[in-house]
Amino acid sequence: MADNSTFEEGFNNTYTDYSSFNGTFNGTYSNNTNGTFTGAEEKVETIPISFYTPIVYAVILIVSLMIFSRRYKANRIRKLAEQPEIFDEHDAKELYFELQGLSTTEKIHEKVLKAALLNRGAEAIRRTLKLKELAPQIELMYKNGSVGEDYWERFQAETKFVEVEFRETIQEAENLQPGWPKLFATLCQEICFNQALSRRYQSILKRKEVCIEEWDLKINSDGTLTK
Amino acid sequence: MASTALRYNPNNKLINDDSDSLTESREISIMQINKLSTAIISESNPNFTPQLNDEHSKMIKSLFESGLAMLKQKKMPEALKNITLAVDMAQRSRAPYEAFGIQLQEIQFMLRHKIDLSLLTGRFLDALQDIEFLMNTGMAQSDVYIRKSDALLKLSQFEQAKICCERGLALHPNEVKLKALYLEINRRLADYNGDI
Repeated sequence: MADNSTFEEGFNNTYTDYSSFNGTFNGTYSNNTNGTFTGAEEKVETIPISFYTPIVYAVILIVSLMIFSRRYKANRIRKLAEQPEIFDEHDAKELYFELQGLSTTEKIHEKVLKAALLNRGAEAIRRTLKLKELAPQIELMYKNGSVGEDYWERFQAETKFVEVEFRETIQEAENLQPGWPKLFATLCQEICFNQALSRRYQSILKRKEVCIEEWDLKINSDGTLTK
Repeated sequence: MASTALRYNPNNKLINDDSDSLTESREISIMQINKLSTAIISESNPNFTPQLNDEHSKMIKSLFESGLAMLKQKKMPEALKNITLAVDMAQRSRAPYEAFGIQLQEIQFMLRHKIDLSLLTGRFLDALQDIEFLMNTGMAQSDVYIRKSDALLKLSQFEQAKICCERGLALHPNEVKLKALYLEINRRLADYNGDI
């Protein structure tokens, strides 16, 4: 019996320990969940927030985004402006503005200004065509990694500049003669092609001289070879 | 920007730039503007269109036809002179805004005759330059390659002639005249190099 009682005592003790453990467990569980929640809810202190607070927050957010965007754009434009251009001269455009400047001091025939503007428009078309011709190759080279991000951006910026330049010439044409822009674009295209033809024709003489020099030819005054 | 260097002459309505730093591209632009100014000032219609000037067409046609008439009489140098004048007139008298398509066809047609006459009269270098012009304006027919190879051969530029002939054969592989010319060029090249 003594053994039994010892066993019972031990068992009861153990059981009591277990129940205490169980009690602790349950208590802890309650504290961690419902108990805690109920307790914290009771302690919440409500801070009064103004109705304008979210609006002020939103305004600050939007304004800071706008400032960032403006600075980012300005930075991008500055970087683009600093990049070297693909076409290194703007003679047609400069000559038009120089003539316009001269027209303020002396009387310049209106048709001379028109001619300078047509030349400027033809040059813009020539550049547009050149860039369009180059576009597939440059795109391929960019995809292959043969040209870098800088050159790609330069190329894209140049394409936009040329478009803007042609739009400006059309606007100038409207200022010079209202209703002219309809014909202006067609005329510019014809002039562009004819000027290209003329340049090739004029280069014949120069090329001939180069050939005579390089090939060491002896040419008579009538153009035949000296025997 | 050399804004002070530009001068305007109110008498002939032309512009010029006499500065020392005048670049070639600026000079070309000034020439183009002057040519355009002359053409526009003589045009009475303010809304001028890219139509061809009939008077110019008649003058060019009559000069060219007189050249062909000389050719029929076997007067080669005179025929060449008239056709050269017709080509020059087409380039000088036509306004830059006149229809490009027709101008191109006109000049190509006249130049083909001029090239044949230049080759016949022994002006191989002139013929070569005109052929280059035709090629630069998009002509790639077999007869252009035949004439160019022939002109280069006559100028003793055998390597160039061979390259031109090979290019022509690549585009026109069944052209018998080009094949014959290619064999002749190879023979002359071997002779020149002392291989024969």
